[in-house]
Order: sequence, then structure tokens, then C-alpha cells
Amino acid sequence: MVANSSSKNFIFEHNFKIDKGMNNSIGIKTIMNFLRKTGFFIAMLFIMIVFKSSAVAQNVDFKVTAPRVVESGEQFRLSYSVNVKGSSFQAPPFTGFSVLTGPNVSSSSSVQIVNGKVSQTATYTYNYILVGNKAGKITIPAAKIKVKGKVYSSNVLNIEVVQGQKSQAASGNQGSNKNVQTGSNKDIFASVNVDRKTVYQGEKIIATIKIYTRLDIGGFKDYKFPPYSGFWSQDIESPTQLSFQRENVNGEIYSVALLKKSLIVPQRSGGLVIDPFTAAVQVRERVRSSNPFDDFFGGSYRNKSINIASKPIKIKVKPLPANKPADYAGAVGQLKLSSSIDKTNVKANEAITLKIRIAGNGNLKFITAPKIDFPPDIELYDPKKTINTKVSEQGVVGNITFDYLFIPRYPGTYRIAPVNFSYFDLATKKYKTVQSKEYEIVVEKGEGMQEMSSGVVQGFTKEDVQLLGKDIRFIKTDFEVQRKQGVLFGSKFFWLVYIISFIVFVALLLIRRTQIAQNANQAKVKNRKANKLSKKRLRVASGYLKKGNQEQFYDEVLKAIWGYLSDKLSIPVADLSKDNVSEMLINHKVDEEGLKQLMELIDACEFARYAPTSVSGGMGDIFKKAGNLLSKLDQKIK
Amino acid sequence: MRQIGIFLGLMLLSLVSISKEQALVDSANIYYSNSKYEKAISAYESVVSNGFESAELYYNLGNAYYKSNKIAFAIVNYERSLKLNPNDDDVIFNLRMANTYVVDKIDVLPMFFLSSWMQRFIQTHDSNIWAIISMAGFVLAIALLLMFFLSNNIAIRKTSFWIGVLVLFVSVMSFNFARKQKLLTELEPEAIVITPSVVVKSSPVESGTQLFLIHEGLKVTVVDKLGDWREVKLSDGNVGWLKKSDLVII
Repeated sequence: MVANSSSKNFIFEHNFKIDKGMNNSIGIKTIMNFLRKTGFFIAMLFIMIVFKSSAVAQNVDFKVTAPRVVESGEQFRLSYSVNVKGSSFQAPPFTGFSVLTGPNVSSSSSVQIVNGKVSQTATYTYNYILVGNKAGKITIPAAKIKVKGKVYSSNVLNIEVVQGQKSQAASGNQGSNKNVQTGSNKDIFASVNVDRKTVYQGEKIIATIKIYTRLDIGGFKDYKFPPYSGFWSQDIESPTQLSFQRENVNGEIYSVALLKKSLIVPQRSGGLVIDPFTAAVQVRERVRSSNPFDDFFGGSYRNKSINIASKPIKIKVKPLPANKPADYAGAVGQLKLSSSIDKTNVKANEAITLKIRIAGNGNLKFITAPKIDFPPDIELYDPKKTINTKVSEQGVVGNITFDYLFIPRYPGTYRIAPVNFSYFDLATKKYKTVQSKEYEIVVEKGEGMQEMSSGVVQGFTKEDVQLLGKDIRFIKTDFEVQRKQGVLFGSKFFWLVYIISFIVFVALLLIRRTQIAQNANQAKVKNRKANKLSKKRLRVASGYLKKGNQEQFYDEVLKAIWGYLSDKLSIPVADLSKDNVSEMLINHKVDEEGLKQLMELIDACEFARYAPTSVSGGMGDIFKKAGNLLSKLDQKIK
Repeated sequence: MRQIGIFLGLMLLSLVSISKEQALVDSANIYYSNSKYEKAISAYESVVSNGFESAELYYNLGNAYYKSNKIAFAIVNYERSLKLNPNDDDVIFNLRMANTYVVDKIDVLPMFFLSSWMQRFIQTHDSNIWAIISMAGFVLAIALLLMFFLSNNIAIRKTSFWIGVLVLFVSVMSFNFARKQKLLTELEPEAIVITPSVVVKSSPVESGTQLFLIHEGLKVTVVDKLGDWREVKLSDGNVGWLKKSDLVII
């Protein structure tokens, strides 16, 4: 649409359109072209006049274009263009350059009709042909133009003049012919440039693929962009038309075109390699001919194919620091978290949406939905993810929204715990954790539930207690510690208990034994003396008998009998009774007769003590009986 | 007399330091409640290393290890707690939880049911309790036999004789149990593997044939020792050698 004077447009088989104007040294051919095009513009002007009536006032756009880098002694074009017709154009002084021709004024105009709408653009151009005198950076100040009484300034231009190669400048196209024929990679090469070579995992890199040439490119036969394996990549700029700029590379001037600009993000740590960009470039090469007329009419060309490949680039990807927060899920960048909820006061079975929005610059596309601790009684649906990002040289900028839809099924007050979101902040090289707000949701009884409860048939469904998690039981807090105990078994104390108690046992038994033995001895003595003692008593009793003292007589006889029995049977006198005596005597094999006599005698004596007269036989009889009985017993009891 | 004096002195000393240890335990409990498990572990451990213990202390220490994901040490301490109090539900529950993390699943070698009953019965009390039962039983039996020998009353003599014989029997049995428990802990102590994975060798040298692989948290019985090496027996009957440093004795 825009007809640009002095531009050569090629359309190649791979949809690359190469605009290679303004940068070639202007030979005879270009000037001829220029003249041809000017004629074309005159024709265009007529067309423009037809549509003049619909011309619309426009913003004034006044700018200057020129190659950024030129060689000294090289002719180049500098052109001022303005989109509105102006007057009193005032060029700045071109110090450091010599003006060969100019200003040559030309204009172009285009009209577009889309669905009946007419739009029109016009360009007025002031061209200069300059030549640089010596190497250095030269600033060309702004030019001025008056449009409708108002003065506009163009932009200021910087032009770098490098030392030209004399031989080439002298021989002109012939020199470059030679280079083409050698086809060396010095004349054409590609490179992949990255803005940094050491990054953290997840940090963005801008990769730029450029082609540098000093040859006339006819097109690309075959080309392959690096696959960026190990990276996530997104194209930022991928021009369908290549626009060449002149650049100074180590003192030599190349035409440089951007092939592709991508944002790449390493997905793993370690050393990653960006594979080379490879292409087969068709280069137009002039064929020298012997016919001088051929040269004059543009000469003949032939295509030559050159393979180029960029150098592989190594990228060192540092892993993220180890002290990751527990909930870290790989987010890198400068991010912000915000949350919102659509309502906090609902009836049961009404849906609520909680929005978590993460915005900023980082690997937003890789962020997974943060986990929210919803109360277990709430029905939760999978979060909806909405990504709204723009990829630019600044990285992936935008926001990502997670919509959590949930439905509380039971009335009550629920607390939705704040969401923790962690990311690695590239600015501070530290992990950051941001927290969303905490929400409290009040759920009232839903209407649906009330209807249900007022219904005729009401079936209650019982629910099992939900096991929410498994954990160990809590510590015990109320206890006392004790000093560690050694093993009791086999200790001195242990054995001593046995030994001492056994010794006590034996000792007590021995003591008892000897006691028993002693007692037995005493009884024997008493036994031996029993007869004598009783006889002594009986003698005393006979004394009382003679005196006629009845009471004392019987008393003494009883004493003699009881005393004898006590000594003989080893029973204390106090313990004696007629019962146990008769039992003991039977044991000693005393016959019934003797026993009966003894009992009768004791009865008689006891009776006589209180009623002496009633005793038959009198004291003499008793005395004789007692004497007989005791001597008889003495024989039986040993 | 002098021994009693020393004993009383020790009692007094331990009372003073017990109150100090108790404070340490309380602080550890607070650390645990505030989820500062590492600090809780170091506080509990210092109480243990000061020579104090209790079933609950080991239980709490085990919990703290569990919460810091040191499952093997958690198991060690739960087992120690069970040694002091074999019937605590909480300890048994948590030990089961911890054992779910143990990789090795080992079939326990079946035992004759009588001996397994017997073993379970013996393990209801530790050696010291059995020893005390035995000592008390012996003293009581002596007293009852004395009654038998010294009393004249036939009824007393009869009852004291039979009870005395019964108590003496109990005493002898518990003496045996105490002895058995002590021998088990001394000669065949149980241990827990603390290394994430260990290759068990056929002989106590590095070049020994590799027999089998066991993992952290497994309970084994140490049956023999040689230098730094311990011969262990698994509950499925497998036997092999591994390094002392791979084990912690319960």
C-alpha cells in the first residue's frame, strides 16, 4: 500500500518479505530507480486529487530516518517524512557530513476504501544524499517544518560512522562480488542472543535470533528455529517481513534483521543448551559477463545457497534455594495475592464463590490452585482457572484467577482459613509467603430444608462420623518422673531379703525349740517331786485331822490332789478342771475305777469343806482313800 | 545404719532434682503443644540423660519424634514406654501408627500357644516388679511357716501351712520370671533399626555375603555381638550381622 521510494521488495517462498532499503550504497542503478518511481508518484498525485474532498485532518508525524551505521566515504540517504503537507522546511546543519544532493522533495499518497469508508494517508519526503567524512558518532539535530502555522520538530538522529574499507569502497560492487564467490560465513551469519546466561529456575530469558549479512539475500530455502528444549517458550515478536537495520559489528557494517524474539523460561535446573538456529540462505550473486551492456541493464544474477548456523548457547540454571516453604508449588516472580468472596451470609444449599486472584509478573501459567482448608461439611467443586496474561519483553504479566465454588449443606458458622501462597521473589532472591483474608460464613437454615421437615414423611439419614485425618494421640501432661532404677534381680538387696528372712525363720524356730526343751525339763522335775509334795501335804492334813480342824483338813487334801495332778500332767493349777483332768488321765491309761474314785474323792472333799458333817466315813476315811489313790495314780502316771 | 543414712540422703537429693526435672518436663510439654517439636525433643532427652524416666516421659518423647518425622526414634521410645507400662492404650495406639511407616512387613514366626501365653504373662510386668513380688512372697511365706511351727492352734496351723506353701510357690515362680526378664534384656535385648536401609550380612565383616535388606523402624533382637557388629534376629527367624551404629537398643 505504502509506496516507498527507493525500496526493493522481495517476497520469498517462506513468506519473508525483506525490506532492504536505504542501506545500500547508492549506485547508478538506484538513482535510475528513483527517477522511475518519482514519475509513478506524479501519477499517484492525480489520483489523490480526485479524493481530496474526503481528506481528513491528521496528527502531524514528522520524523527522520537514516541508517544507524555508515562507513566513512559511503553515500547514504537521509530522509525527512511528514504526513501532512507543510511549508518552510528547515534542515539542520549536517556537520561531519557532506551533502551530495538534496533536498529532493517527493510525496506519496494512498487511499483506502473499506466497506464504503474512505481513509487516506499521504507522505511528503525530503531526501538528502550524504556522505560521512570521518569516523565517529555524529548527532544530527532536529529539522523544523511549519504545518498550518505551527512549527513541528523531527526527532534527533544519531549516526555512527565507522572507518570504511578502502579497497571495497574503491572497487564498489566488484569487491562484494569477490566475497560472494568465496561464500565465507563472515559475510553472513546468524546468532541467538540472550539477555542473561545465569538465571534461577523459572526466571525469564529473552532470546533474540538475528541474521547478519553483507550479502544480498534472496530468500530462505530451509530454516529451523531452536526447539528450546528444557524451556517453556513463547514468541514475543516473529515478523513476517524482515526489516534490515545496519549495525556495527566489530568495526564492520552488517545488515541485521530480527528473525524471532522469544520469552523462554527454564523448567529445570542445571546446564541447559539452546540449540543453534540453522538455515540455508539463498544469496543473489552477480555473474560477471563479458558483455558490457549486460552490466548496464542490471546484469544477470544467480542464486547460491549458503548454510548458516548460530553457536549453541549454554545457560546456567540455578535451582531455587533449598529453604522452600512447605506450601511452595513452583511460582516465581513478583506476585500479589488478593481474595474476594461474593457473600458471607447465606442459606443452606446456596452456592458461594471464593475468588483467589494472583497478579503480577512471573510464571503465572504454571501456578496451581492454592489449597484452601474448607470445613469438611462443605461441598466443594474443583476451582475454575482463568488466565489473563500478556507476554512481552518484561515477561509474562497479568493475572490468574481461581474461582472456588462451594455449597454449605448445613446451617452454622464456618471459618474459611486464610490461603497461604508462596513464591520465589526474583527481586530479593527469597521465598515470600502471602496470605489471603480469612472469611467467616454464616449459614442459616435453608428454605428447602424447612419444607422438607414439614413434609409428611420424613426419613432421617444418619451419617457415619467422618474421619478427617489420622494422627497420633496427644502427649500426657500429668505424670511424675522417677530416677531410673537398676535391675533389682540379683542385686545385694535382693539376695539379702531372702537370706535375712530365712535366718530369722531358722532363728525363731531354734529359740522355740530350746524353750520347749526347757519346759519339758521343768515338767520332769515337777513330775519326780509330785509324789513327795503330795505326801508332805497329806502329812500336814493328818496334823489337822488330829486337831479336828475339818475345814483346813479338806482344804489341804484338795491341795495335795490338785497339786499332784498339776505337776504330773504339766498343767498349771489354774487351768485344771475335772473335765480336762479326766481326759488327760484317760490318755495316761488310768482305769475307769480309779478315775471314778478320784472324782468321788474330789467331790467329797469339796462338799465337806462347806458341809463337813454330811460326809460319810469322816475325815479318817477320806485321808486313807486319798493316800491309796495317790499311790495308785503314781504307779500309772510316769 | 550407715547404709540407711546414705539411702535417706539419696532420697532427699533425688527429691530436690526431681522438682527440677519436673519443670523441664513441663517446659517440654509446652514446646510440644506449640508444635516446636525439636525443642521438645531436646528437653525430654535431657531429662532422660539426667537419669530420670517414666512411661509417660518416653511416650511424650516418642510423640515428639513422630511429629518431627523421625519414626525410628519414635518407635524406640514407644517401646521403652511399653517396657515400663505394658498396658497403656495410648502408647499401643501411637506405636501402631508409627509402625505403619515401617517398610518391612515381616511375618512373625508362630509360637507354641502355651509358651506365647507364658511369655505374654511374664511380660505383663518388668523384672523389678517380679523381683519385688518374689521378695514379698518369700517374706510372707516365711511368716506363715513360722505361724505353722509356733502356733498350738490346729486351725491356724492348718491354714497358715497351706497359704504359706502357696505363697512360697508364687514367690518361686515370680523369682523365675524376674530372672527371665533380666536375662532377656541383658542377653537378648530388643533393638530398633535407625538407618533408612541396611544390608544384613552373613558374617561380621564388610565383605560378608549380603543376606537381606531391612529398613528403618524394624524391631529386631540382638543375639550376639562381636566388636562393632551385632548379630540380630528378625521376628521371622532370619539371623544376620549388622553394624552397632544401625541400631538403638530399646
